[in-house]
Amino acid sequence: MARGRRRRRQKLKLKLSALYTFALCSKGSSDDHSSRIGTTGFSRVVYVNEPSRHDEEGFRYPLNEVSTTKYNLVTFVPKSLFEQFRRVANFYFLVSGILALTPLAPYTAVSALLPLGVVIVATMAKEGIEDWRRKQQDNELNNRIVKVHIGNGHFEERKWKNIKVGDVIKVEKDSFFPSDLILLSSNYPDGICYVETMNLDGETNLKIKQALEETLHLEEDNGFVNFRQTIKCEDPNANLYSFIGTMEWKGKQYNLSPQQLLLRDSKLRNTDYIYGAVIFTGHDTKVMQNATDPPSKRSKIEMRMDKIVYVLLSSLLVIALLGSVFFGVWTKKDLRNGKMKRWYLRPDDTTVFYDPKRATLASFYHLLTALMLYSFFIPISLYISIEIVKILQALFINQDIKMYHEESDKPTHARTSNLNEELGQVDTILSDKTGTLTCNMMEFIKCSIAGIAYGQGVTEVEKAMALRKGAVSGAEIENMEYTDKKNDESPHIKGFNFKDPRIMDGNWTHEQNSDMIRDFFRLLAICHTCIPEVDEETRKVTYEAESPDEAAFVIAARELGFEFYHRAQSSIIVRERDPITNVVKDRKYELLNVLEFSSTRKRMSVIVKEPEGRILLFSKGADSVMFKRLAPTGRKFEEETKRHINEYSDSGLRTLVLAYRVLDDNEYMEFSEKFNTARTSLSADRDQKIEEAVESIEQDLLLLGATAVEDKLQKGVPECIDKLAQAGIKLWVLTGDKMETAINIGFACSLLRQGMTQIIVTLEAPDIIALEKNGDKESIARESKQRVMDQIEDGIKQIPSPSQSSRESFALIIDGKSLTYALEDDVKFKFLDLALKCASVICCRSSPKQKALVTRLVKHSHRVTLAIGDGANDVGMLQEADIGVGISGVEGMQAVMASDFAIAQFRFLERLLLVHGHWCYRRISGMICYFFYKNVTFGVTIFLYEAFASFSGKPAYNDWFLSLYNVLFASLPVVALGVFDQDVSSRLCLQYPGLYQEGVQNILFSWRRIIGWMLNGVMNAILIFFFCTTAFGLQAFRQNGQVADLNALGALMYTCVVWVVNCQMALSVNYFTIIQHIFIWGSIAAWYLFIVGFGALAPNLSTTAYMVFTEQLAPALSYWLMTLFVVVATLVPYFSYAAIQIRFFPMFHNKIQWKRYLGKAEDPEVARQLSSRHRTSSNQRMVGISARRDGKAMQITREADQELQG
Amino acid sequence: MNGQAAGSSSGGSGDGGAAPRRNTRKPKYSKFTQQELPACKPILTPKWVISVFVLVGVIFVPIGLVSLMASRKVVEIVDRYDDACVPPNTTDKLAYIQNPTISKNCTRTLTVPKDMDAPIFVYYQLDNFYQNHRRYVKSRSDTQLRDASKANDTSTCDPESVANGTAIVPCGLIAWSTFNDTYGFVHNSKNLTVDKKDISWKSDREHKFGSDVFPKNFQKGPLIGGKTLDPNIPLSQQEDLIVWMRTAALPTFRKLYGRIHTDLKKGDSITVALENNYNTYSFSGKKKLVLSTSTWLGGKNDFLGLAYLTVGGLCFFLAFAFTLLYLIKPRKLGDNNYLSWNRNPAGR
Repeated sequence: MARGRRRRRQKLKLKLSALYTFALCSKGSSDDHSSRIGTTGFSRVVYVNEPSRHDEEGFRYPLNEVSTTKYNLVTFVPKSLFEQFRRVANFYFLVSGILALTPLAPYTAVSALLPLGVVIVATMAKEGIEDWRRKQQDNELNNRIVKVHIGNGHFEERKWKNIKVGDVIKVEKDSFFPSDLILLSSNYPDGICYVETMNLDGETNLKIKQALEETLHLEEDNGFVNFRQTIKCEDPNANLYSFIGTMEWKGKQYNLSPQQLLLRDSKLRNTDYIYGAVIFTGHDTKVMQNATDPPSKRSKIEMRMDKIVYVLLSSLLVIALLGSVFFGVWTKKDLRNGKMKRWYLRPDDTTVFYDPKRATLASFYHLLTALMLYSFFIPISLYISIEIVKILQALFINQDIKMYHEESDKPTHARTSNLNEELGQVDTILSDKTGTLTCNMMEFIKCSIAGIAYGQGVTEVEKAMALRKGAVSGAEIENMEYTDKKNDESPHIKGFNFKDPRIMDGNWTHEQNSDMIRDFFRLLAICHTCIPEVDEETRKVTYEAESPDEAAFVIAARELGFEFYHRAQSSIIVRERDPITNVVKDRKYELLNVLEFSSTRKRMSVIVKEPEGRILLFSKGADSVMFKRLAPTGRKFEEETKRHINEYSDSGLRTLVLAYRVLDDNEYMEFSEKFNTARTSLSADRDQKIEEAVESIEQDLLLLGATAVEDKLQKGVPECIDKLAQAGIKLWVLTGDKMETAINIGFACSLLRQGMTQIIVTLEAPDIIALEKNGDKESIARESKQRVMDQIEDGIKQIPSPSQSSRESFALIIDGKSLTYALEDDVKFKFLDLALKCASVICCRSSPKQKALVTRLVKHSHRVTLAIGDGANDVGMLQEADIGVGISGVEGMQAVMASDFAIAQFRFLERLLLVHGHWCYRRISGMICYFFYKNVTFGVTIFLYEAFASFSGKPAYNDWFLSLYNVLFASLPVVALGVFDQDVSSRLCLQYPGLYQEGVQNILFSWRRIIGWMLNGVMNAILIFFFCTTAFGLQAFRQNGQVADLNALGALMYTCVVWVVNCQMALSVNYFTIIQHIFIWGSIAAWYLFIVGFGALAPNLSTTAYMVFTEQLAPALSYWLMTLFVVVATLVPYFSYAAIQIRFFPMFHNKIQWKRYLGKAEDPEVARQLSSRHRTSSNQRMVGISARRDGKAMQITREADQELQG
Repeated sequence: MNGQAAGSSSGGSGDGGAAPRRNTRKPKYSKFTQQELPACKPILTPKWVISVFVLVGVIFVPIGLVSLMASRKVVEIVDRYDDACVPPNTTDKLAYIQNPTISKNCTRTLTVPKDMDAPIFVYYQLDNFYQNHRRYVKSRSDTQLRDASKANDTSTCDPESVANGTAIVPCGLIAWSTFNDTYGFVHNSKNLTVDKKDISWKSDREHKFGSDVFPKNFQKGPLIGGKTLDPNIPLSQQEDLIVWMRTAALPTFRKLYGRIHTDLKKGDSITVALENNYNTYSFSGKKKLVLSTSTWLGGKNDFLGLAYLTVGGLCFFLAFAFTLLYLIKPRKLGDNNYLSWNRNPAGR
């Protein structure tokens, strides 16, 4: 408290609201609000400072406790069970589990229900743990502390969850609002406060909120002693930007607007404290109302897996039906004319299940039995195993030290584990630009003052351009950088990368237009809306700015000797170093008006009065609006400046034009009067009047120059894009920037290069612009659409069909306005067609909605899309895409919250996709194939045995053998495969990006492969069954003459199955760590341990397995010989197939494995050869640094040819 | 190249580790978490493939030879008697077998093809008999067989659980239908004793069939199935029953009947005096009498030996074929013209 007061004293009270032109002037604009209060949807009544009165009057408002958990103690069991049994396979197991309790069951109920129980409990435990984590997060929020008025002007700390509607609370600087509040007052006399809404919309700039004038004076704790108000307002809703309510106080009514509403999850900034009245709590708050469940995404592989389950289920049904028919026929034959055929079954005296007289019914019941029996075709543990595997995979992704960003201390975070394998199948990446490709860190790098260009820094883009032109080799670039660094003795100042001895360190005074230079920097120091913050100890000034550009300007001004030091109520203090006397002195500018920036105005201005009394209008804005506003006398340097601007934007810089104007007193008085009448007018056209007034003063400007700010490319972006391009992944850039900037960034990232044909779709044609001025909306739309159509069709014509081999590549660049038409239903597929044929696509000036629509459009072509972005404007795109990747960078958390994977830097995408994506894809697909293989093998042996047991439903195996197969003896190796297998090491994955195509083209999970695995399973089962039955069928299998009974044969067959599936696994594993060894051989050992242990139990427990191994099988040499024989004989076909395939029909990963084996994989020449051979036929690699190199080489040869011919 | 640069730089840059950040979220390095565990990365090189095939061949062929020899050493006499033991002019075999008044005695003469060393195992072989039918397999009560006090525990034995109001011991279809043909052997006009001891599994005798459980009320129902049991001998000694109750896996099966501890010489003739009681005629099942010696491998079964020989031979052949393939089509390992995915559009 004391600290707060001290700070307050230090800071002069600001009442900026009087200055700002647009932001705050629209308060309480219309009166029709109050009329709606009390009607449906506007029924909330809040008694401020009397929270207990609501209960008394019968208003039931929820607590401020929020819960984002899916379950609670009561609902957990039923709800999570319901979730599980929605999966068709699990439902099938549930039904067969229930049926197992009836006499229909071919096995004992407990043996069937136990594995199901294990699987269900494991899944529930997983759900429970996840929910528990959410609960803990909620608890953390709910137990945050805030000060609440408890009466008599005393405020007490309370937990968030205990806040009630009607409480008056005090929120201090840099803390979050616990609920939706009505702002009553703040430490600023005009009741404004700054709010950061990063968690809501991802925007980092601060928003200004203002209390009603009537409540301003409540600035002390004891002001609330007898404070009573009634607020009536709308019911809870999800609209963040609207609010309707009235405040009744001291018999008067006042309208409330969004301007007074502080939302939960936003943060108080630059304001010491505020007082607010709680109106919405807990789940009533707007942010909670907004919380929708993110769309649940499932990977393509999982969808295909569901299909496999269906295929298996239906084939299961078919064989069950087949068996039932046979069973029915044979049962019917058992009793004919009173004569029993198989008399030992007593068909004359039987239950319905075997009754020859009711054979149809019996065979129907048998169908149910068979469905239960063949349930071993469907791996019961499939889903849980996959989930476990994916969680472990996600853990590996999170743990990857090479995807950890040291500067921001952010590791990669897989927010969902559902999509790991989808990462290996990405075909198209849709990327945001700002903050994703670029750092969103603006650096003041160049400027043009009075027609002279200053600034010697080399931009990333210029480096790339230099490379592109081939002017400098890579080594020289590095030198450039090196010298750069050497010169850079002073520590790097964030946001400032300007070097020019001509104007630095006060040298500007010696330049010829020194007064213009002075005005230029003054403008930079004054014309903005930043707020300085002085560190009390070091006296250093930092700035709080709405946009990084502005911060860069103020910092630049500071570094060049014009330190914006203090912002007071209506003045700005700039510390200027006098160049002649070299004395630092404060210059106080009286701030008269601020005409803020808006996207329609594209400029901002301030009007200030110099200490000397001159009134100045400083203005900065986009070139398109600024040049129009210059006075004829102010155009002296127009030509040069324009040229410089073009140069700057050519090198990917953001430019702004700076101009000023001197106002004489009369002129200003006139404006001021006009402006004030406009502001205070209550008529509907008020806004327009203000606009007119402002427009009139922002004329006849004198050009000072232009600034160039670099939007820095993130580290490693061009290299990463090159790798992704080599992997055959297409990159589309969707940006809100203007076309020139976008194209520049495109060049910088090597998405565009020389020799690439640019197909530009735009509506910036003069005739269209002319038409727009006429303003007939319909004809504009019609004409524009036609234009877009034509341009798209032209583009398609330019591109040769794939049959004509051409090395030419194309880039499509389309602007937002055209995109609106291109995304209309009748055009969009043509647009898509064109876009897919182009090597790179850049959409500029696109809105968040368009980004999402483009993503949806690409999804139409059944390609896996990955969207990557960092801002709130990318949320739609991230949610729409198959995979959303959020950059956990400087912008808000919104994108990360909506994403599936969060990475700190764009370049990590390379490793995420090429290494983890590829591995996960191959692991999951291998794992699923193997899962079905092992169950088909097992199931077919059961089925074949049925055929020899007159389809009566008697399994060959003991009940527990059956049920433990999926749980114990064949489950862990496949999990190990899913978690650990790698075809090639991560380094080789990156070295051979072409490997990634295996996932994109889904080679490892094609139907051919899946069916191949299943057929392998069927074949294995047939071999096992016939080998075992032939060997152990009739004769004695031991020296002392005993024959094998059902138990012995079953155990033998089971032994063989366990051996075969595990050895098959050992054969197909590419990467044998100790873990695989433990799991594979451990599973086999587990079987022997089990059969010994289980067989030693009392016979009433072990039933048919009693002593079967120790007494019957183990002493028999033939048993061991059979095991050896069956395992080898069954696997010989697969082994031969694999040997031929890897040698004569190697897949790409096989080739790399060969290279690695030969020790040649590291050889860059071999790598280049291998990769280039692999891409010859596809025209994928048209972008990226390497493509540029290849393109250049081609160009040189072509030129040489021409020279020869000429 | 670039990837490495990008990758390593992230580790190297940063705040230089001068002041180790507290609570850093940097993942801890371990070979496990970075998925760099030492591993064997097998690849099927020609050397490997050929040596595996040769190895399998080298192991399998001798095993096959030994097994085959063992199997060939076994002497087996199989005699089908179900048809032969019905008087030739019987039209309705079923009526014949079901008629308890007719004597079912029958004499068969067997010639010993080779010397047979004791012990000689006597089996009966039934055909088309579904001992593995689910109804049949389930129709027994293990608790009752084991425990004298649980005699009434016959719930699983339908329809042979109760006769004349009291529980049947042993109950169930299996016991009820126990095989009841009997064999007597005469060799050189001397009776060959058939040793019927220890023809069942020891664990069955000791743990599954109680020594204090006696047959009770057995075969007293309206239908007589098979063998009757002496109510004075405990179940644990009723070895025929125990053997029978070990249900066979397949519809054609042999079961041990007894052992003969006399050597037989080649050309000897054995007269079998059998009682043809068991009804296999209703389901047209064959009945066979089998006399067989055994070796370490068990009975006469060429399959194992042949199978081993076949697979061993196949492996030799494959080793040869692969050697040829590798020689004829040596693939230069830089030859990557084969674009696996461009060839199979089915991959989509």
